[in-house]
Amino acid sequence: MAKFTCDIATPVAKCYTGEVHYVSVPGTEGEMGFLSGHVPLVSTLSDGVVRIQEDEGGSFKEFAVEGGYVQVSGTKVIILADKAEQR
Amino acid sequence: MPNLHDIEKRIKSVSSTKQITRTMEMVAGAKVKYATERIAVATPYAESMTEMLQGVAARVQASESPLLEKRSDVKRMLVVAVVSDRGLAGGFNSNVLRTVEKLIRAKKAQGVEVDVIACGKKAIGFFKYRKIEPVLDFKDLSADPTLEEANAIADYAVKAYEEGSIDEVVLVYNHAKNAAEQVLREEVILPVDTQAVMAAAADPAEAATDSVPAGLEFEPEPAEVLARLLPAYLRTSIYHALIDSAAGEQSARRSAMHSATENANEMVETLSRLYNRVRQGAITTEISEIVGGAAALED
Repeated sequence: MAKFTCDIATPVAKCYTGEVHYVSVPGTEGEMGFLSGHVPLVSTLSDGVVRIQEDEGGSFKEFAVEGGYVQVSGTKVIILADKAEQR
Repeated sequence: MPNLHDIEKRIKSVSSTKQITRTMEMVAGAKVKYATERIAVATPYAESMTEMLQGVAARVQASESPLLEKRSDVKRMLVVAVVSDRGLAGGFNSNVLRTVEKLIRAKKAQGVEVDVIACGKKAIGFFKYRKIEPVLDFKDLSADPTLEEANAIADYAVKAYEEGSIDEVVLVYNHAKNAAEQVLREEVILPVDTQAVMAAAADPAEAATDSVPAGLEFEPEPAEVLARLLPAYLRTSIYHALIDSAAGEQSARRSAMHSATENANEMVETLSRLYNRVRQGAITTEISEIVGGAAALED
């Protein structure tokens, strides 16, 4: 399946940027997962874990985020967080 | 005729001052690089934040958040003055402080009370001397602004604005336009002007408007997202202003020290010329005295 760009940015650093297959984020109203072509969306995030799968069926990269927001457009997912750290 | 020894002493003192200014120039030069890198790292976050806010702002009314509402009657305002902890940076500090002082005087004439937040020792000293007590002050952070500092300012401003004790918040700082030039900026950060946010985005990337299509979904409701996004946006703007000012400080110091070094060079040159002339004059006098003395003996 098609891939899309995903960025994780904090005020002090850009933690991650790359082409990914699947991203899941801890939304304030529950966990959300995005695949390519997801409907445009803006949401706030609660503190939790962002999981990124770069290839279909591949392993997950996990990032702990605090105080974040996510913006999804057709080809891009931007995750903004006050703090983020890879596990 | 000045004494030879005095001139020599002056040359020595100017040269040693030159050594100091040259070192400061080089140190500031190295710090400029570090400070510019920090801005580069923080920019993606700030840009995405602005872009996100645009998407949200386009879909909500100003009445949905108290932070967006412009108050017609401004009774008390807050000025955030961002300067450095140290001097020797040319007009860097005084530009900001003079602007703030002028602003305060103009507002007072209109019957508006003004509160001040001072960032940097120079600002604290300046306002204390003028018997203006800053509501918040930060020192020892101008070279390395922290997120905590920006958050503390933003939290104070948001709280006071929501309570209604403050009707407008203005940020005054130096923007590092490039390595050699700083531009004074005066920005109204509260109420958040959504029109300005939209306009600001129009020029850096038109793509921004395309990437926020009409069928945007919100989770939770737009107003709730906005309520969290706006303070974060404010924190980002303040943090950005702080690191921008830090970069400006270093480049201002570098150019100030550069011209100080050049002036010292020029001074040493003039003084050496004077020194040589005086020395030659003394030798000439001595020779003519000896010749005169010898001639007197022969007779």
